[in-house]
Amino acid sequence: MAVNIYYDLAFALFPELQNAFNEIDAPHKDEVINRVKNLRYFMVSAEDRLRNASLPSEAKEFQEVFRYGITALKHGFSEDDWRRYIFFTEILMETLLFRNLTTWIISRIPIIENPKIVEVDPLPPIVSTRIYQRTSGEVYYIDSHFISENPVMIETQQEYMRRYMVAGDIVTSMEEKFSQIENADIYVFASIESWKRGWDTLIGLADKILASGGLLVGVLPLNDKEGLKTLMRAWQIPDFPTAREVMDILKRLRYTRIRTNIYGPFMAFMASKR
Amino acid sequence: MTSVVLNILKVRCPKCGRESIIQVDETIIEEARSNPLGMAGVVEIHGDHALVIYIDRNGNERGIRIYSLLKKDVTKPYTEFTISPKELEKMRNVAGFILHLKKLGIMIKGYTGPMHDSYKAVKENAVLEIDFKENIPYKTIKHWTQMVIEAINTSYSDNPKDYLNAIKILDVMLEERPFIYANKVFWLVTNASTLTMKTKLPEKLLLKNYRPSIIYERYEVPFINHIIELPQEKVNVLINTENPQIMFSRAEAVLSLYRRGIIDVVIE
Repeated sequence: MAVNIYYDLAFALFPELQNAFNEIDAPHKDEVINRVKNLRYFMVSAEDRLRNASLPSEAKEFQEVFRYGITALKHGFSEDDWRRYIFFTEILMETLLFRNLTTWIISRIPIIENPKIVEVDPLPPIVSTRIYQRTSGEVYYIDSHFISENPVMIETQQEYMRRYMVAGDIVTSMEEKFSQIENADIYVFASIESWKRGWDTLIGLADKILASGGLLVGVLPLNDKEGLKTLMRAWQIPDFPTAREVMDILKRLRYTRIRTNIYGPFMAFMASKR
Repeated sequence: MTSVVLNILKVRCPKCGRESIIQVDETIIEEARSNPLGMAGVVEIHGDHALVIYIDRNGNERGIRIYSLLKKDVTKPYTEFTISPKELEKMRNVAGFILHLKKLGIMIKGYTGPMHDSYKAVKENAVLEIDFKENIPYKTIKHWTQMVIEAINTSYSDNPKDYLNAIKILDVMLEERPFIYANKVFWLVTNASTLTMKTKLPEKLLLKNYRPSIIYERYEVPFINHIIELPQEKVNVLINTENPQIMFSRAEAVLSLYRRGIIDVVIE
């Protein structure tokens, strides 16, 4: 029952979502606005349930940070100013929900000598940086077109590399720099930006990039249910499989030592490639 | 090859009333895009003063500023500022320098002895001749000095201290590994007297509540806490300190907060 509160909180953000998307010009504007309109009844029910609910700290943070995220999206699309968006991605990683998942991941990273660590669309590159702090090695960021075309986002990544003294590189063209990232020891996707690629693409990339025996590390939204499904659509994030489906798929792909942890509506997992 | 004109601005000088027509082309837009504040400056000399028109990356006017071009001695093309040898003796690597800023009619110089074997860096309106105490690899000198002269070239500060600070920071950065956004830090330092930092309340509250790791682990926390409690302050007042390494680190911190929209930095 406790986890349902997050889905209700997502519904409760719909009015802000609608207002923000009414004011911007974004490729997915119509989709988001139509979804919100069609789910109005569910939104009202969710607000009723929340009226009598006592929110734990994690839930309050979820609400506050995603509310700010909607503002950040609005500024990004309307003014082409993505600075607040960068800040949103960072404070999201500092919420109790994400801190718990990150701590869980880091505490289970095996000690590998000088690993090659690849993180997909790391905005911010917190997880790969924390892994690097534990293991050293080299870190490569695989960036989407959206990140690589945005100077302030690239600068943010460079800032992490400089400030945490991370050895590595930013890869904006996988075709040109594939030799740098193939046979990775650890492959990570943990940012809201990486989720835009969708589960199939992320796992497909892992298959290409991870060395045999390499470690797959992921954080994903459990957005099979509304209102998180529509809230994630505001970030152009497609549906992800359920927790059960994730485990089944990984087993089918012959990953071993699969471990999972769910916190709120988010899940972290680790698995070893055969 | 002629550049495409993307916008035309009409500006009246607040000091002398002269009307100027500014043709905004791709070069100006490109300069604005690569500038930390997303702005480029176009200079017009009006006799005893210069009018600087700031243009954003969409080609719109974002403000104007007047600089006095004082000439104490009409036989000299520049107003000269001389830095005391005592200041230079504190530097580790720089023995002397002469900086010419053509657009502002300023020359800043300082040397502990005669200049010889100096490295010369030139960028449009700025010329920097610099002498070093020790043997520093040519590649290192070229990389860092080029970065400094590019920052100086796009600066409109008429405060010699801003440029001296850039030289002081260059002095210590020569010993560090280059990194890509160092040019933006230098730009902030060379323009510090013209810039005002303004804290944004919603972001300030979120910063204090969530404490992003990189800000609180990798920057001087008392300095960060000091900045965010100020509604606004001149950037040169914020970053100025005797120690150039600390000054550079503070400039990086200001840029870091700006990069996240926690503060705005405006030309005022």
